[in-house]
Amino acid sequence: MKKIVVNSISGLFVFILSLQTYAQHVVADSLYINRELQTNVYTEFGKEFFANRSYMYSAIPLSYSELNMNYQSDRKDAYLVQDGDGLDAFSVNTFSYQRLKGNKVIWGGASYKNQKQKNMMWNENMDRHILGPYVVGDSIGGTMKQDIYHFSGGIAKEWRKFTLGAEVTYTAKSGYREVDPRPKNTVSDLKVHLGITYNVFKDYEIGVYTHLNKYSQNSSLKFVNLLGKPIAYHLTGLGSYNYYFSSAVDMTNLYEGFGYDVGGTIAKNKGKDFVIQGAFGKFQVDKGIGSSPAKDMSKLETKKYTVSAVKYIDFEQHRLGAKVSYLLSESRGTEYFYSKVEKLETKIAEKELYKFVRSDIYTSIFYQYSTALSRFTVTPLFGVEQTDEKRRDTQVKQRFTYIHLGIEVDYLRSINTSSTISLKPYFKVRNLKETTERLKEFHYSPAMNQWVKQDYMINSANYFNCGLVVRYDFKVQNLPNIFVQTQFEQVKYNVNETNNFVSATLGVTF
Amino acid sequence: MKFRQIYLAVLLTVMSLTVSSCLSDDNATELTQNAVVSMTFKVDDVKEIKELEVEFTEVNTGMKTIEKAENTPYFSVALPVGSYRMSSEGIGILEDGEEVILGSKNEMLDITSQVTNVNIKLTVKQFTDDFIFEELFYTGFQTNEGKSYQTGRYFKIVNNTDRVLYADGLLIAQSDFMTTRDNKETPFILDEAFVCQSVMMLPGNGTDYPVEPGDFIVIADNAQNHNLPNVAGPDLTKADFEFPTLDGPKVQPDNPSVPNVDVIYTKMNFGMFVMHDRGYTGYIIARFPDGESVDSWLSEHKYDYSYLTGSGKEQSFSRYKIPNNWILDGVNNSIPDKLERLVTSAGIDSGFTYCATSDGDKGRYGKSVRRKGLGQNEFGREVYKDTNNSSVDFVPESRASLLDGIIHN
Repeated sequence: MKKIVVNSISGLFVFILSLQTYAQHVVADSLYINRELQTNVYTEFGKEFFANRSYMYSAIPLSYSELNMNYQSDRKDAYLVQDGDGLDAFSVNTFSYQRLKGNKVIWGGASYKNQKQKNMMWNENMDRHILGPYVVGDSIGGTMKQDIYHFSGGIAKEWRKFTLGAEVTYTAKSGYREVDPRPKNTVSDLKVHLGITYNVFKDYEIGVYTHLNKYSQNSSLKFVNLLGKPIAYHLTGLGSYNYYFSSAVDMTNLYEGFGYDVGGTIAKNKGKDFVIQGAFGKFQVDKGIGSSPAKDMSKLETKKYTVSAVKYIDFEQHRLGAKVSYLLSESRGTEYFYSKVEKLETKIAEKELYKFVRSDIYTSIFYQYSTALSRFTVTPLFGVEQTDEKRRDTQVKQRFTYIHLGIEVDYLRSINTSSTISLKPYFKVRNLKETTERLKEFHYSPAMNQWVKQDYMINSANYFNCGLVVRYDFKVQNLPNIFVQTQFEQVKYNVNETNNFVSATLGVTF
Repeated sequence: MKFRQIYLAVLLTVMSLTVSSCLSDDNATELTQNAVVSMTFKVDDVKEIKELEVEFTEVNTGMKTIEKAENTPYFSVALPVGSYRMSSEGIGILEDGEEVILGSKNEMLDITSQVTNVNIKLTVKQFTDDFIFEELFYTGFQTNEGKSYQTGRYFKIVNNTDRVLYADGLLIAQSDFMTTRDNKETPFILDEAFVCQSVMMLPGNGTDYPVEPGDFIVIADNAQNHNLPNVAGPDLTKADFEFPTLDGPKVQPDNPSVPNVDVIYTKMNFGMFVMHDRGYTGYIIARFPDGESVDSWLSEHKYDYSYLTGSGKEQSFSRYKIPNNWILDGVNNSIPDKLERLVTSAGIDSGFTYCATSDGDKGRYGKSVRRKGLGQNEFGREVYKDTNNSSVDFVPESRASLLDGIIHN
C-alpha cells in the first residue's frame, strides 16, 4: 500500500511540473480567475467561520451560479451495521451567489437527491446522527430508498458599521422499503441562521449569531406478511432496548426536535486576518410512540460547545494560515417508564440512562503559493478525537481515543485561456490511541450481541484514507462554462477491510 | 511584524498540539436511584419458611434481579425505581417437619418511592402422582408457499410415575384468561379454580387405555399425516386420540382408527377446541373426583365474571371452572415481554414457557414447548422435571418432537 501511495504522489508531482512547463507562456484568463475566487482560502480553509452569516457578505468577490448533476457510489467492507454497507446516490444541485447594488449579496440553492442506503440492519430510521441510539431496529433490515430535497436562501447587507446576514434552509426527506420489514420515514428539517457584526475600531469587529432548528421525523414500520414478522426493537443503545414497547402492534413513532446555537466572533478585516469564535448549542429530540395520543418514550438532549480560531498571514505570493478548533458535545438520553399495575397504563418514572460525550481538537496549518496561472495549497492537519458512550442501568460502556493525521493538497492551474484543472489529493490516518470497553452479552438476542461486537471491532480499528478529486473546467463558445469532476477515495482498515468511494459530477457555471 | 505574526501562528499550532484529551476515564459505577422494597411472605398451614428466591423483572428495561433469603419470611432488597413483575419460589416446612415447595403468582409492583412494603402470599405447590404434560405443540406450520397451516397440533402427555396409569376420563382444558392481558376480572378465583374456555374429556370406561410407566399418549387436533409435499408436518395417524372439528364451515377429516375425545364444554361454535397459535393461554390436565360427572360439573361449576374495560364499560362473561384440587398438571404459555399474569394458581404452575418471542413471531412455526428430561431412573425410564414452574421445567422454542413420527420406546 505504501508503495502505491509513494508512486501516486510521485506521478502527481511529475504531472504538476509538466503543466507548469506547458503553461509558462499562457496568459491568465477569466475562467481561472473566477475559479480561484470561487474557491478562495476563506471559504475552503475557514468555512466553519461562516456560522455567522454576516460573513457571507465578503465570502466571494464575484457573482456566480452553478448547476450540476452528481452520481456517487460507496462500497464498504468495514462499516457500522446501522449505516449499511454502501450508498448509491444521484443528485441534481444548483447554487447561486449574487453581489447586488446597495452593498447587498444574496445566495441560494436547491437540490434533489435520490439514493439507496444499502443493507442497513438494526436501523429503520433516517438521520441516526440526530436520533442517537433511539431508533427502531431489527435483525433483518435491508436497503432503504431515500429522496432528499433541500432548499436554501440567504441575504447579507453591509451598512457603515454593521453587517447583517440571514439564511433559511429547509430539507425534506423520505425513506422507505418495499419488502418486509417496511419502514416509512418522513423528515422535515428547518433551520434559520441570523448573524450580525459590528465594526468597533479600525477594521476590528465583533459579532454575534444564532441558529434555530426545528426538526421532525414521522416513522412507521409495517409488515405485510400476515403469517408473522420479525421482532422490531425500540433500541436504547449498547445492546439494550425498550422491553415495554418492543414488538408492539403499532410501530408508529414521532420524533420532534428543537434546538439553537448562539455564538460570538471577534475578527479583523472581515475575517480575512483572524477570527476567534465561540459558540454554545443545545438540541433536544423527543421520541413518542403510537398516536391518539402518542406516548413519550425518550428524549435525547445534546449540548455542544465550540471554540475555534484562525489566522491568515500574507506576504508576496505566499500565504500562511493556522487554525485550531475544539468541540465538546454531550448527549444525555432520558427514558420514560410505564406501568400497567393499575387499570390504565401510567407513566411512573423518567430516568437519565444514556450518555454520549465527544471531545475533538483539531489543528491545521496551510501554506499557499500563487502565481498568475496557478495556485498551490498544502494543508497538514492533526487532531485528537475522543468518544465515551455508556448506559447507567446495564453498566455497559465503550470509549475510544483517536489520533488523526492528514495532509491535503490543492493545485489549481490554468491550462489555457479556456480551461483550468484542479487536483486535490488527500491522505488521512486514524490511529486508535486507547480504548476501554465493558460490553455485555445479553441473552435475549444473539444477533444484537453480534452487532455490538461488530461495531466495536470497526470503531477500534485503525485506517488509512487516501483520495483524489480532479476537476476540469472549460469554456465553450456561447455556452456557460462546463466542468467535469471525479473523485476517488479508498479507506483501508487494519482488519483487512477496504472501503471504496467514487463520484462523478457534470455541471455548468455562469 | 510579519515574522511576529508567523511566530504567533506557529506558537498557536504548537500549543494546540500538546493538548491531550479532555475526557476523564470515568470508571466509577453509576447506580441509578434505588428504592428499598420490604417483603413479608405469608403462607397458610406452613410452620416456617426455609428458603426463598424472589425474581424481579423490570418491565421497561427487561432487567432481572434475583434475591435469596433463608429462614425468614421478611427481607428487603434495593431496586431501581420502575415497574416490576415479581415471582417467588421457596421451600417451607410443615408442622410435621415435611418439606414442601412454595410458589407465588406473578405480582405486578410499581416501585416509585423510597420505601415500598409488599405482602406476598405463597401457595404450597401441589403434586399428584399422575399424568403430566410432556409437550404442547400449538403453533402449527407454514407451507412452502408461506401460507398458514393451522393443524397438525397436539398434546403429548406422559406417565411420569412408576405404575400403570389409565388415560380414561382425563380432562384437558384451555384457559379462558390470557397471560398477555390482565383484565382484573372479578371475582378473582385463580387461587381456587382454573377458568376454562374449552374442556375435552378422553373416552373410556376406566381401564380401556392403560399407559405404561414412562410411556406417553398423543392427543392430536387431527390424526392425519401432515407430512405433505408442501408442509413439513408430523404424521399423526398413530395418535391415541383426536379432536377434529366435525361441524361448521371448517370440517376436518375424522380418522376412523383414532378415538375421538368428547368436547364437554367450549365457548366456541361448532364444538371446537382450538389451541391458541401464539401461546397466550394456559392448559391443564385434570380428573373428575369420585362421584363427579360431566353433568354434575356443568351444573355446579359455572363461573360468571366481569371486568371494566379501559373506557369504563363493564364486560360480563359466563364460563366454567375446574377446582384446583382436581388438577393434575398445568402449564402457562405466553410471550416473554408480553406476560402480564399467570392463568393458573401458583401452586399448579408458578412460571411460564413460550414458543414465540414476540407477537407475530414467524420463528414460532414448527416449535413446541417440551418438558426437560432428568435422565433415566434405575428401571430405564425417562424421568421428567416437575417443580410446578414451567419457566424451569420446560424448554421453550423446542423443535416439535413428533416431526420424526410417533415412536414409543
